[in-house]
Amino acid sequence: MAIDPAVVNGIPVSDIVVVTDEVAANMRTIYARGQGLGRNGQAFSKLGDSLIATPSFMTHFDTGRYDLGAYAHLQPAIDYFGGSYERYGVALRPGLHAWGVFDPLWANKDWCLANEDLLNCEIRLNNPGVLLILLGTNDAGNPPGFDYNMRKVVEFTIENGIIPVIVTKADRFEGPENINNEILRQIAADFRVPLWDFDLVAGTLPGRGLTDDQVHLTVFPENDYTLPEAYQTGLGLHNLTGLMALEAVRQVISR
Amino acid sequence: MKRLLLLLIGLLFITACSGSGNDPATAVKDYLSAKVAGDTDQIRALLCSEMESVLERETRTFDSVTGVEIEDMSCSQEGDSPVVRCEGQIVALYGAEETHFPLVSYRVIEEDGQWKWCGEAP
Repeated sequence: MAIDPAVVNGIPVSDIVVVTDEVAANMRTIYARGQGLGRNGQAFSKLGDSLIATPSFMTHFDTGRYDLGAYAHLQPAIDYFGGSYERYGVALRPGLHAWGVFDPLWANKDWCLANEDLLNCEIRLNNPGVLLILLGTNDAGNPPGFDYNMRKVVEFTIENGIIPVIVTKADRFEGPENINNEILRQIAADFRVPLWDFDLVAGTLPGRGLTDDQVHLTVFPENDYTLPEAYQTGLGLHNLTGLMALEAVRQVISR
Repeated sequence: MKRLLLLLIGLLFITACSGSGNDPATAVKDYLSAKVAGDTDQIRALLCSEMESVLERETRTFDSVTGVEIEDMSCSQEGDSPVVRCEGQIVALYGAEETHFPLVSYRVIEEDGQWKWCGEAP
């Protein structure tokens, strides 16, 4: 069966990667600020927890072990941001939550300076033009606090000339009301920054693409999007739609 | 005997009138223990005034954790400097994963007769 590259499991890509004209315009403003600060527009960093602190998250796009199948049009994103996919960085920590981002306690002491939090540290080390932000799973029980801290993270990222890409999550760790994803969507809209709404895709997957712990995503080591299994696993579609988000960013900033 | 008694009284007097109610290393250890416990009152009492704005962050750092412990903590002031060097680590359990936070050197400041924790030291 032929795959329509404008759709993922029946969901339009435009619903999964939300970059409106307003968002695109704001991205160009942030990008221009970043260029003035000397940011590397072809590098992205990752800020998140154990869901992406894994070699199964996007690293294969740098190693060449993949087949995009019907999504071959995403290759430019792989070329443009080459080197960032495989890079782990210092802003990934198992258990990380929004409160911990600016707490120096969470920073890697082998790489970061005294009193330097992991986000400042990552920016200093990698100088990225784009930041993928995947937080919320470990922010249970305090929606106002999550909202407050995520807004601080996004504000800080923008002030530093870095385009934040906000990512929704597949799990319901904080409860069935999905409050953290709703907060993330609102923040993306309020700040006019890209939203990668993976939560929508997870809804099409068996078990929402989650393993038995109901938090981490099921793996897809083949990274071959000509295989039907690619569209039934959490990480298979997480990686694919993440690439779509980066391609959307590339198209805006490289014009 | 009288001299011994006077000596003891003198020592007690000196101790009672010393500038701080605690010593720097104890302040840091107590602070880290409070942070691990999420003890807002104790954190507030031991956090220096210039860091008051991050009180909530300091209190919530270990939210959503099933078990947090400090292992092998030992702290000592570096000479007469406002720096306390600690060894050991905080271990937190997130689901099935352990995350380790090594203890480092911390800055202390004396405020209102108490030594207080004031962030990491270079």
